[in-house]
This record gives sequence, structure tokens and C-alpha cells, in this order.
Amino acid sequence: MECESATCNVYEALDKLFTGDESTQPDSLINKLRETFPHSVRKSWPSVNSELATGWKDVPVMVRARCMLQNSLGSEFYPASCELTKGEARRIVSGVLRDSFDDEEVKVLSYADRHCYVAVPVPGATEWYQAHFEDQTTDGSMDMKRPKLESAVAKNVLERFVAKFIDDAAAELKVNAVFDVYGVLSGHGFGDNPEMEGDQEDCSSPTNFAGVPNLHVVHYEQVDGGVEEVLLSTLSPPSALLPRLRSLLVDCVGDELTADYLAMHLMSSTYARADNATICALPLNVCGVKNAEGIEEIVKMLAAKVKILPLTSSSLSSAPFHSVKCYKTNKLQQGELQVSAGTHLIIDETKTPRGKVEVSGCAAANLGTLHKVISEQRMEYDFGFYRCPFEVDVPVMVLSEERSRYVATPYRICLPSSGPAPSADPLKSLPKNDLLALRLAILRAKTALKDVVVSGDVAQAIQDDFVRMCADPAYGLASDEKAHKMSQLLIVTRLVTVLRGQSEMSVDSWKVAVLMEKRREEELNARFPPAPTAADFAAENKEN
Amino acid sequence: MSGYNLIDPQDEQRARETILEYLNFLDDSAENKVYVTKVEEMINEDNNRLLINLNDLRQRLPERAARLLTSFVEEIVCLEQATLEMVQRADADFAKSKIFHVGFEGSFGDRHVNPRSLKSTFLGNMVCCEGIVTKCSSVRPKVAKSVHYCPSTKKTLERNYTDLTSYNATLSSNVYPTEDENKNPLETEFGLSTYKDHQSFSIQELPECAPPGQLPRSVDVIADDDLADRVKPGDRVRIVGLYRVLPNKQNGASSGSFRSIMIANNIQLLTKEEQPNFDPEDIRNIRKLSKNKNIFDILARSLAPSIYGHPEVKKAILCLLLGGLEKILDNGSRLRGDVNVLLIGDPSVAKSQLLRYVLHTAPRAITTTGRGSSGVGLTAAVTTDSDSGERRLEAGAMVLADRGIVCIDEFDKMSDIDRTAIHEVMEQGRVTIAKAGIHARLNARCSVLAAANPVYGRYDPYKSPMENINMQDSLLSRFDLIFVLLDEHDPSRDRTVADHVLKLHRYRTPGEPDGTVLPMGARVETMSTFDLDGDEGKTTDIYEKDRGWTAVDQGETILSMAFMKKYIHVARAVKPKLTAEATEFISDCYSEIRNFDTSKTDRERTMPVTARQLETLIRLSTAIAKARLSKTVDKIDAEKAHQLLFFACYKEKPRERMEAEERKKRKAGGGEKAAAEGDEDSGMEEEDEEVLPKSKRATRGKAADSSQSQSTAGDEEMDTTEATDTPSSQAAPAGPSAKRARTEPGSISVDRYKSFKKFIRKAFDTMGAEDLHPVADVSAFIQKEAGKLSFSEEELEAAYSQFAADNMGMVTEDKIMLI
Repeated sequence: MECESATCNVYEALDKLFTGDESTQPDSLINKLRETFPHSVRKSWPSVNSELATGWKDVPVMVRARCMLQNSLGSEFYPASCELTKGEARRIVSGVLRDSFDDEEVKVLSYADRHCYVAVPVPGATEWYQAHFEDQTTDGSMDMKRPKLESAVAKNVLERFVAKFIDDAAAELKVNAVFDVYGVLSGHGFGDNPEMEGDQEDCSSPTNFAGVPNLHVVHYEQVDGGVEEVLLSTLSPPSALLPRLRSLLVDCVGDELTADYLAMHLMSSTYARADNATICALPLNVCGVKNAEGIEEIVKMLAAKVKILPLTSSSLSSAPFHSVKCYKTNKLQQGELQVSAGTHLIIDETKTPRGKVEVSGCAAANLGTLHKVISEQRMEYDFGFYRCPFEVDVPVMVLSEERSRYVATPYRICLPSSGPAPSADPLKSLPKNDLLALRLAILRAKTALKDVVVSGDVAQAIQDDFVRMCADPAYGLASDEKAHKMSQLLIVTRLVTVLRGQSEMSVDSWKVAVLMEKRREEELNARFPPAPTAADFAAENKEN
Repeated sequence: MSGYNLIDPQDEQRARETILEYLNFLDDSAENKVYVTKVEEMINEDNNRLLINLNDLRQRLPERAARLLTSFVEEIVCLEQATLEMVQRADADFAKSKIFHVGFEGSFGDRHVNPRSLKSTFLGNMVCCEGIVTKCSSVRPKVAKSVHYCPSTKKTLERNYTDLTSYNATLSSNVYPTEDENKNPLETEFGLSTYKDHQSFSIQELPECAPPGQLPRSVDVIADDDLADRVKPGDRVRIVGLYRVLPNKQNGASSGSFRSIMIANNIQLLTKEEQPNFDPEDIRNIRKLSKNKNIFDILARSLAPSIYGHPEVKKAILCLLLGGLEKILDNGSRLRGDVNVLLIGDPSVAKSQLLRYVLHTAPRAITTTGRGSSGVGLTAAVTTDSDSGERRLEAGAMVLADRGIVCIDEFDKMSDIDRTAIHEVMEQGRVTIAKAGIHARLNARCSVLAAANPVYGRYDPYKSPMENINMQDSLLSRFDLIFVLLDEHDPSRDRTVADHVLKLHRYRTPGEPDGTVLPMGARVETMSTFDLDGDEGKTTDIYEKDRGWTAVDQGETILSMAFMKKYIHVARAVKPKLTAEATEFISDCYSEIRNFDTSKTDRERTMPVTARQLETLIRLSTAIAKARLSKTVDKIDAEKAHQLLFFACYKEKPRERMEAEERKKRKAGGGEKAAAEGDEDSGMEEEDEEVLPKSKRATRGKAADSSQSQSTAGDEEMDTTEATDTPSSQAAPAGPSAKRARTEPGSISVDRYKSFKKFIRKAFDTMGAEDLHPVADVSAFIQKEAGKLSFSEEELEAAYSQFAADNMGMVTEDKIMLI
């Protein structure tokens, strides 16, 4: 009893499946529904991200969506089975996937709970990432649908919906996780009635919002990297792809060192944290950027989710970057930086006006948030009575004309002063499949980071080398910077190891990393000498 | 009347039996009369809620207790009926005036939940749920019974209202009648109708209970009648109540989604402050440990054991935790007992970690940064309420930490306004605010533990400490102890650092996979509504067992944090008195530090030495005496306090002082050995060895002892009882030494005082005893009488004050009069 079309009434199928006995408890019922609508059918359902037909407000429709869970609302109860009376007719149905029953008297026989989350489109999703989800349909149906889409009067895109999960496994889904969900979209009447406004306290529902539709989930999959595992396994080994990536990036930015750091930044991901050290994040400050668009485009071509944050006085002052819980409306107001794990954050400082920047409002708090994200990969959400830290995995890149004035990143690199501005053109001219392979290689490198082995011998050698470095005045390490420097070097070493397609850290990679860091700092200091500190000022004054 | 249901006679019979059972339970006049007394109290205090302990019920009626948890509604109706009958027996009139409710407390077992673990299996059950109140509706009257009068038929009509939030949820029609069956209009008798208070609020999972990475969950609570308006947003509460579903109201169609609420029958506010729970064995252990001669060092060592080194800083922090003694003088001025400590030094020298340790050990501690997150800052501010537009006073961290400890990180980054205000707070212990028509004085008697970075980011050894700190002397002098923590440049540490970092990078942090929810109760300390501490009836371990993470040497014991907490709690309450010996030593030390101060350059000194340091010495000695749980502040305490202060002032142990002592000793011949003194101090040897070799100390002790005889009348700051410790009681063979005469004005020997008295009487005899005489004249007469043995200025001064203290005369301004 497969149901082919998206318009097929899910409730009919549901009522047919429901028998009222033990075998059709919500859990097994939903499993049966999944069998009724296999993946091949589900992926032909319209996506709420791009092609939602109008009219869903009146008739529930089957849809799919790629979304990020933005807020968890807890659970609500629904009738697992109930008796409907309409005139003389009586029938027993399940309340699974339903918001309401039409004009019928309801007698609830048993309750079950479903878990509700506010879902939003994935913040910063790049075109190719979204298209990858949209194009999952088979070729045939795609041809069929494309013209239909064009003829549609208006493209409907849902900004926000409440996803309701029935199975208990979904009770503790994490916020900011990305899911592909398939289910019934229903416009419900909750809170629509203006009469109820005056009597908010008893009728407001914590799990239904006026004007926000509910999506009753039939099936859901967590999206980690954005690409199916199947695809990853068919890929040629990264040892072949990553050098290609590197040479392409050299073409893009015109400098080997910058290209290396850019590649490493793309692969970086925070997989562990200990003692406030984040492993293996590589927050990068690219200095000497005249026009941010070139680099932004490169990152967008290669990374799945890219959030661009122009740093202007209005963007800094107007709204908090972190999310704030509003108890009046029971909503978690999404801040700019509430993004899913693995989203690349590009802070564009070239848009900042020169000279004095007038800021107000949240600016100080926002810079604090940025700093915390960069240094600890943590962000605090504001819950009114207290603040709650959330761990994030956001590779940060700051683009600035000189050294960044507002955010300090441990890794600063400067673009070559001569030569063409960075552009994504070498990437654009690639065949589509090659590009996809590169993207997949980067995603795979991210997961490979944590599997890099450091053997005892290598660790010993590295330790010895580091102690020698400390003794060497050429490096001039201050004692409190040592641990930090060591950690930085090890991060680079790990990334170099992966970039070379190796799975075990070697002394050679360590030496390369040390050299790279040294070159990076020398070039940077030559072009943008470090800003004089207060101490230097004081010393100068004394001399004068 | 509508809503009248046919009742099954069998059900009725069963209900009657249940009520009787409950009635028997409540009427325990034959036994310990717990509930009989409770009912009496309820009547006396005009309450309408009877609190029943579930544990009592479980003992007497196990079946009923179990059913109360699972099928709450059936049972509660019977129990409330039983309560009503109980009240009727006691006071029939009172029973008519109110509707009575029953609340519960006691152990709820697996029904002790938080909003996250409230599951559908608990529907219809009584649960106990903890959380933080986030959103409160206003309290509104809800009609319980309306009375209507029909003018045409002259009949009155009564109507009761129930809705889904009442227990017996036989839904009455909620339509308010405006006309009777015959369409005659009705008038509402508002005076006769009854209303009850109604409020709903949300509680949200406690932040410490929420699993990391998950948003907190919340649940709505309905509080009626006496429970309304018990909570305000931000409170931490424990709610006992019925868990029930309500349909979500929806436009038109019948709803297919329901929300869950709790109907509260008992609300308890959870206080954040905890009182350590003492076991008799704990007290014994504390007593026993306090006898240990090295107790001060053991305690100091056990502070933040994971931080290596800085023994003096740890001692100072221990003093801060113990505190000195506050003194309110008769004229209303206050001598603070709080010890303030400032840590200053290079980044990454564990300043903040020390602060964090204090936060967890002190009974009441508040942490903040110099910048402060809100506009209130450290002291207090007048703000405008965004809702009502009213101005209100908001307390800052230091006010909130009254009688506690405030830890201020980034002290140097404080705003100028706070910097000015903090002057007053640190010495007077209060905040005065006069803004926007509000003039208020708030108590802020807190110890300050501050950490600051040097002004140039790093500590510059070529600049004086004052320049490095860049704070006014007036502010610095308010700190009892200032420590400069410098980063040690130790090459062997590089290896440790590299090793540590490598370790972090080599292994993945083990532990549960992300997002695992902790098993229920893993973090809930107690399953009961009574604040049974987890360790009740169990003695806290004295010593830390797991020492892998600590940075102390092998063979040194350290105390467990729980035991430390208890010890400090006990020690804080001790009120030791200064002994004469210690007083003498302190005044001696003070003058020495003052002298030493002038001999040092600014580069070597961390803080200005002012009269405040004298108070500091007293405070520190008191705190050190407290560590021993001693009733008196002895000289050994004062010695330790001196060492601490000296170290804080000059970043070194009082070496020069020791050398000076040595010189003095050599000059004096150093013959006498003070064996008795050595005996007394022998307990302190171990830790003192490096500082003060025994013989030197003994000599100094001797020196101090010999100067004991000199009066201490000059030290007004000291306890007045100490000041009355007159020298006359002691034999004093020696006159003031040359040094003492210079450094310690205002002392006179007993013999000289006797002769002074003789002369002054003579003077009055000649000049007229009843009159006021100018002091100068009297002095001149005395000097003439004394002849060769004339009195020095200091001696005279001391003699006059002694004369006044003995109530023999009165010295006012420049005149003197005999009494």
C-alpha cells in the first residue's frame, strides 16, 4: 500500500493502519508509516526551504525540510488513541501527526507525549549545500517538477516551524543540530483567535505559536557534514585530493603560505577541549585584505555553511550575537551567532568605517561574545536569570585590512602585498563533480583530525624540540605564552599531518609546522608591525 | 443544580471508609499529637492549608500513601474532607469560614523530578518538581461561587464553578448566568459571591541540573488561594503538586494537542545559602585537629591544593576566610574585621583560580569582575524599572556579599565611579547613595579578595610596585595585604608545560558521548522536600584521599574541601581576645615596619605603610588565633601575622629585622637563654625555622618580654580591656631603653609614675586643689620638684593619661583638675 503522490492524504493512510490495539502504539505506528512512505517517496515531497506550494494553511501537506533545531520546547501531550463522535458515528483514531480533529467531540482514551522543537532554515547554508538536499529527488521526478515550480505563483519559503517528534529517541535532541525532516505540515489554529489575547495565561500554549505552522515528523535524519556517508566512501583517498585543493588555493590567493593556512582553516574543527584549550580550532585573521568578497567566495565554494558577519557599528550595536530567552513569548530569540556546528564564521572588518567607530547598546557584549567564541569555542546564551554556556564548533576567520582592530585571533596571516586580489575563479571553472569531490575531501579531513595518532616517540621528540625552542632567545617566548604557543604549534602540526594525507603525526610535520608558524609571523611583522603596547608608549615617553 | 452526578453507592461507601481512615490518621491525640497540634496551629494562625508529611502517612497508612502518589485525585478529595471534619471538631465556626486544603511534603522517591524528567507516566500523579521561576502571571481573583438574585421571582441562585484546575474535575458549565430558566433577568450579588486568588507561573530546570548542551525545560504551575503570590521570578522553588494535562485552546476544532501543568499543593522556596551539617564526630575531629600545632599551615596548605607554591598567599587567603573581629565603638564608628587581600601579578599565575577556590569554600561569596556585567557595578545604583517607570535601588556585588566575601577579578579595570565608591565600602563597610531622590545607606561589610593585572600587562621588575599597580595609595592602603605574584622563570617547567599540552593533544577527552542525559537523580542531592544534607549522619572525611591532582609534597597531609568548609565555619565563630603579650608585640612590630618603610626604596615596597597596618596586624593575629580555635590571641599568632604582613609589604621575609635582632643580641651580650620562651614556641619550630632560628626568636621574645612593662596606653585602636592592663601590676625594674623612648612615646614606669603622683598632689596642694590649673603650670611645678630626675615630655604625657585613666584627675584641653 505505497502512497505515490505528495497530496495523498496521510491521515487516511494513518487511520487505515491504526487498529487501536497494542500493535499500533505511536512508536510502531510511526514505523509503519515510514514503511508506507519509503525514502524514494519522501524525497519527492516538496521542500519547505524552496518550493512550498501555497494552500498548506488549510490542508495539511507532506513536506520535507533541512533545518536546524533552534529551540527546544519540551514535550506536549496528544491522544495516542481517542474516540471521535460526530453525530451518531463513532470511531477510534490515533492523534499521531494531528493538531486537531474536525468538529468532532473527542474523548481521549490514552495520552502519549511528543517532543517539540523550533526549527529554522540552516543559518549560513551555502547554495550548493542546500541544492544538494533539494536535488535528492530522482531525475525523472525532477524534470517533472521543475516546470511546475516555475509556474508556481509565488515561491513559499518557511522561515520557522515547530517540529514535533513522536519517538522517544527524539526527546533529547540537541539544539543547533541540523536535521532533514519529512512529515506533515499543518497550519493550526492555535493562538490565532484574537479574542484569546486578553486571557493569555491559561490558553497560551508553550508548544504552539500563532502563525508558526507545525510539522509532524514522520522521519528524520541528522545531518553531520551535509553529505551522505555513502558518497564519502566512494571518494578517492584524500592524499590525492588534498594536494589538488592546495594547488587550486594557491591559484586563488597567489601565495603558498596563505593557501596552506586557508586549507587548514577549512579543515579545522573543534573536536575536544581541555583546560580551556580548544583542539583543533584555527581562528585565522587574514590581514591585508582590500576586498573581502574574493575570499568569502572561495570559502563559500568549499564549505557547506558560511556565515558572513560584516562588522559595522550597526551590526555590532543593534542586536546581541548570542541568543536570548524571552519568557514573555516563550521564544529563544536567535542571535546572529546561533549557528550549527561546523558553520564557518567570516568576520568582515573591511566594512568597518575607519577611525573612530561609534557603538552603543550591545557592542561591548557582542565583542565579548566574539572573543569567547574565538578563544574558547563557547557561547553563553542569556536565560534572564542566569547565563548558560554552550559549546560551539565555529571556525572563525577575520578579514581585515591591517591587523584586526576588534578581535584578537591567535593566527594572523597576511596576503601578499603584490599580485592579483584573491578570487574564486579557478574554483568556478572546475567541473561540478570535481568541485563536489573537493568539498567532500574537506569534510572528510575534518572528521579525520581526531584520528591522528601521536606516538610516544614522536611526542618525546616534539617535547625535546620544544624545550630547545624555549631556551632559544630567537623565539623569545614569554613564560606564560609557552603553553599557548605549544598548543598552537601542535594544532598546526595536526592539520599539516592531515593535509599531507597522513594519519600519524611525525617529527617532520612538527618541523614543517614550526617553520610555517615562523614564516607566518615574520611576514606579518614585516608588513604589519605589532601595535605598540602601553608599555612601549610609556618607555617612549620616558626617553623623550 | 447542574453538575450533580449520580453517585454509585459502592463508591460512596468506599469513599466514606477512606475518609475515616484519614480521619484516624489525622486525629493522633492518643499518640504524638503531631497533626492535632498542626490543626490547632492552623486555626490559631488563620491558615487554610494543612501540611502532611508523606513519610508519616507512609508509616501509618502505607496503602493510602501509595495511592496518594498514583491516583491523587480520588484520594485528595477524601483527605480534604477528612481535614474539614477534623477542623470542625476543633472549631466549628472556623470550619465554615474557609475552604481547607492539604499540602504535602516528605520523600517522593522517583516522583522527585525536574521539568526534564516529567514524563507522561506521571500524569495524574503527585510529583515534586524543582526549578527556577521564570515567568509569573499577575494574581487574579477567580470566581469560586457566584450568588444571583432574581428580582421578579425573589429567589436567590447559587452557582459553584470548577474548571480543569480543580481536583474534582466534573466540569461545570462555565457560563455566567444572567437569566434564569424563565428568562427572568438575574442580578449578581457580588458581596455574597466568593473568589479565590489564582496565579500561574513557569518553572524552568535549574541551570546546574540541565545536561550540558541542552536548553533548559520548563513546566507551568498553577497556584491557587494561599499559594498564589508566594514566588517571584528568579526564585528557586520546589513545587509539590498534581501533574495533569490541559487541552490547548484552538480556534474552532477540537484540539489534538495538550499541554501539561502542575497544580501546586505546596510551594517551598529553596534557599541558596547552605548551613554545613555538623555531625558530633565532625566537631570532635575539628577540636582534635585544632590542637595540632601546625594547624595554620595545614589549613593554608589545603587551600587550593592544586595550585603550586605561593604559601604566603594561601595563608593570607586563609586569614581572609577566617576574618578578624569587627568592633563597633560606642560613638558608632566601626573598626572592620574583614581582611582585604589584593593579588597582583603576571597573567597566568593562577590568580583567578585562587579566587574561584574561595568562591567554593566560603559560606557566602560573590564573584564579579571590575567591569561588572550590569550597570549596577560593585556598589549600588538607582535604576528605572522598565515596566512601571519607578526608580528603584539595585544592589551591587559588594552589597549582596554583606557579611561574606566578594571576589573581584580584573580589579584594575574598574570604572572610576566604582573606584571612588569602593573607598567607603572597604573601610566603613557601607554604601551611601544619594541619587534621584533616593538617599540610602546599605551595609556592605564584606571582605574583598581582588585580583589585578599590572598596568603594563606584565609586571615590570624595573618599576616600583606602585607604578606597576597604578592605583591610588588611598585605595591600596585599604588592603590589608598586597601580594605580587611573579611568573617563575624556571627552565624545568618548560618540559612540564610541553608534556602537559602534548597530553591534551594526544588523547581524546574520555567521558560520555555528547548530549547524554544524566540518569535521574545523578545530580539531585536529595529526594526529599526536607533539606537533609547528603552527608547527614555521616562524618566528613578529614583528609583528601585522592591526591593525584594536588601539588603538595609527599608526606604532607591536606584536608578535604568539605572538612575545610566545616572547619572554617566553626573557626569563624570564635572570638579570640588579644593578650597583653600579643598587644605588646604588635605595637612593637608596627613601629618597626614603619621605620623599615623609610629605609626602603619605592621599588621594594608594595604598599604604603600607614596606621592601617596596625589594625591589619590585629586582624591577622585574630584570624590566625581563630585557626587554632583559641580564645586568646597569643604572641605566636602575632608573630605569624607580622611575618605575613612583612612579606606582603616587602616581598620578602623579615630578614633584615632578624639581622637587626642579631646585632642587638650581640650588643646585649646575648647571655641569657630564655628556655621557658623556647618551650612555648617549640610547636612552631617547623615552619619557623627558615625564618627565625630558635635562639634569635627566643632572644627577641625575651626583648619583647622585658619591654612588656611599658604601658600600652598609646594604642587607642586596641581593645580597651587591653589598655587597662596597667603596668602597675607588674614589677618593672628597667626604665625605658633609648630605643623605646624614641619609638614609643607615652610610656612611663611604675616608679616614675608613683613619684609623678606624689609631685602632682604636691602641686595641687600649693596651687589650690579645687581649681582648674593650666597643664603647663603643673608640669613646670612637677619638673621643679623632680629636680635632677626630671620627666621627659613623653613620660609626662603618659603620666597624665594614666592619671586620667585612674580616675584621679581630669585633663581637658590645656587644663587639669583633681577629682
